Amino acid sequence: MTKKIGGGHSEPPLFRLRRCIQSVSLIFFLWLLFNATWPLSDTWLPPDSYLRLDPLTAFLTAIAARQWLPTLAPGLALLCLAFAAGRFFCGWLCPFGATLDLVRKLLPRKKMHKEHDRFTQPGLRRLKYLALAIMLGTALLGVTTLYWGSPIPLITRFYALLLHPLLLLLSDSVLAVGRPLFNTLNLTELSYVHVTLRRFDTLYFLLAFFALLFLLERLCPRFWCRCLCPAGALLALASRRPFWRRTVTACTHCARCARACPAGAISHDGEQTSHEECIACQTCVNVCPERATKFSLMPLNDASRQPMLLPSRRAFLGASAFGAVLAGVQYNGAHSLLNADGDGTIWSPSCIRPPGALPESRFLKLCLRCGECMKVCPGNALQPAWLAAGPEGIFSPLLTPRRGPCEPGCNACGQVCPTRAIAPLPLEEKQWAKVGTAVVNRQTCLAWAEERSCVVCQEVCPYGAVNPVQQSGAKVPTPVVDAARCYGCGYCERHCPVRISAIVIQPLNALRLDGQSYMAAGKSAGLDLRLQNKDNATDGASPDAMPQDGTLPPGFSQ
Amino acid sequence: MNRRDFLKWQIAGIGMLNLPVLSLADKALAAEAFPDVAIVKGSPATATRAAVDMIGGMARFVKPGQKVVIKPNMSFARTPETATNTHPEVVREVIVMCKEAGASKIRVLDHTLQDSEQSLQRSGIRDACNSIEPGICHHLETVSFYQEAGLPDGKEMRTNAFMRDVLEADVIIAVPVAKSHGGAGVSLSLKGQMGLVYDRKIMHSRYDLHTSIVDLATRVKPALSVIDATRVLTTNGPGGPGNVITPGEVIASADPVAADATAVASYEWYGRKMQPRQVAHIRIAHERGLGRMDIEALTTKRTTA
Repeated sequence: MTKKIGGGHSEPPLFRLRRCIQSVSLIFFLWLLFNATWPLSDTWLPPDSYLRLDPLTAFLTAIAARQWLPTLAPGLALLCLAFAAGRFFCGWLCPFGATLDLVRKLLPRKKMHKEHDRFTQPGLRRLKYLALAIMLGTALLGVTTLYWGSPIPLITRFYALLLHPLLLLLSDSVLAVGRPLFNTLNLTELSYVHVTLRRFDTLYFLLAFFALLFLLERLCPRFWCRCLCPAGALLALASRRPFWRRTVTACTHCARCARACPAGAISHDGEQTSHEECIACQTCVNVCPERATKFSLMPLNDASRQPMLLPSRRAFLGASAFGAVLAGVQYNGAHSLLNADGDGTIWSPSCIRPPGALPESRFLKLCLRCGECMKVCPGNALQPAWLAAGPEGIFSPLLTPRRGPCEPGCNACGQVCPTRAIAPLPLEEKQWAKVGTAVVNRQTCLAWAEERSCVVCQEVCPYGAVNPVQQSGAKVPTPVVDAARCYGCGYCERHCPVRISAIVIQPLNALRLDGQSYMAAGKSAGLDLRLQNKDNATDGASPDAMPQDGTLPPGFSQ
Repeated sequence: MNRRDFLKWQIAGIGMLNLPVLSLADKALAAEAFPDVAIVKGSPATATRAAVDMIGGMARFVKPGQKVVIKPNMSFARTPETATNTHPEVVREVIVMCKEAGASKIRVLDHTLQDSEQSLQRSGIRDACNSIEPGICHHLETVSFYQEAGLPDGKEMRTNAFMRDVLEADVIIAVPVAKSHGGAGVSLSLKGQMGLVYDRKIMHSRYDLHTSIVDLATRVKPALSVIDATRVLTTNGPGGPGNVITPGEVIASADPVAADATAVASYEWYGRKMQPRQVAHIRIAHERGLGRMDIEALTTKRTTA
């Protein structure tokens, strides 16, 4: 596409600018994402900037949550801009689109224009509007399904959960190989550099989803953007006749532009344009041997546009109705947490939400499943759910303490959540946002079941919530959890030496508030959450840990 | 044979005759001069130096060109006053003495359960190490820093993954803080060696904790133990917060069992006087001949620096 056609033809400045901005945009997106680590550094843009820019997310989340979300205003602004400048977002800024373009460059190319046609057929292109209609239908009834197709959350998850950990794995292997060399060269500091690997759930979904899309790139450029992307559909609806658009003068009908157009937006003769399909990428301008094509500001009425490839009104309404039914089904699922505040809700013991997560039904409406919180979590504790939060909560974040604990000094997940489904709590508030309570399994606990010295759980508990209690007649002290002092951070579960942890966090007595103070709520609920790493050492010495007369100190024998 | 040769041979002969005698005298002198255990009261750094000097000085343990691994407690993100980590001044003085003795490579290593970055920082130990030689103080968390090695003399635990640095080291020096431990009774120089292996969990789950602590000592027994009892966490160990007393002492010994036994007997745990044999891993180590807990039969020297 970038090949120069004819002798003296140089790339038009707008084409070059577009390519430049698109590359910079993808790099910048990755920079923001990969830099989203705790402690969060002050960047001049928030780490979730691109998520805030997603027009579909902004539009549908506001509808589903029945709430104006100031953080998502950029997405709505972008939607308005589409009336003036069309789907420039897709061609210039979208990291999903840029990734597809990049993959297409890397993949071995097939001769394309014949297959091309098959995919330019109206039927497939209408799919995206139907997807949008279904999502709109569910959103109108207060259920979000946009995470199945919203481009920025999906691409964020792809890079944060699948690609980034792969890069870490690679650098770890390289370091392991290089370490003997660093040692011999006396590069002390370098020989101890190591990479903390990150592991995630639901990777097979991401792999299958993106592998399929990447393969489709071989058959048809930007298949996703043409036929499936619901955000593209929303933008298309807004850009039927943008002011800034493609125009053709003195055309020789060579149809190079039609063949080169990655969006398939140009008619076979090269003269007419489907503006709602056009991603303003300037490829047609670049390939035109006559320089007869350009993008310019035009009046509203226009003869050179093709009729829009919209689904019929009946199909659109039908899809919306299906969305409404889908929403009803989601409410009616036995394990659905969409009405979690009601009676008879089945909670999975592993459905532990990040600290500061809104009350469950509200949380599910707002959560985009973008994975930003999972990327930033220092302990790798936040994992996308498969079914632990019900089928309706798929891909939403769960705290998985066996993988890593919730660091008491960290509040990063709330800081990066684009919809505030996890509230951005200051640290002193977050320290009261109890996520669950540790429960000891006395059948498998080494101390309880086998009378063996252990109490690692007490050793690692940052809150002093696990007490080694010497039961009368027992050989060793046994761990007992003080629920009022337990935050649910999961240090105990992470480090329990039993293969299937004998102390687990369950979402018991988790505080889930919508705007109120966690500290006030926690105190009134009788919680006593105090971190034990305060420097005044004797402050928290609990007198009950001193054995009564006749009993031995923990760990000693007669 | 000319006169010169004759004299040469004569001198050599005298030398040969005298050598064994001299070295015997050396040993006798050493046994006389060095107590089994030294307890020195004083500020952390001076007490550390004095205690090691009393048992023969660092030159007795570290020969020029040797590789040394120092194992302090630095696995809690807490400041020195809480007595959960070794005092940074104690660690620093040990490093300085190793340098003076001519160590070619010194590493200060641990394997923590807590947040490693914060532990290194708040304990003050990394800063103390960096003030002598940058980049030698680390928490090793990644499995690639470890190598599987056998414990042929182990009773229960016969293998584990050890830090490569530890397997390569000529000398291991234990520099624990004295503190109580909910599972092991006390955490001193024997228990502290758990920070040198990758799989600590297995020492609780598959093996008896006390037995496997002793198994560990069959392979990574410290040549020198310097117990920091400048502050002692007598309750709620190992993490605290608990009752902290400040004896202001440092205990040094070439025998980790004797050092640990001395620490147990010297302070009150949970307000009670305890016997070394009441800590199972100390008793087992004694029984298996890894050291001696019968401190009343050993020579202990006390002084104030």
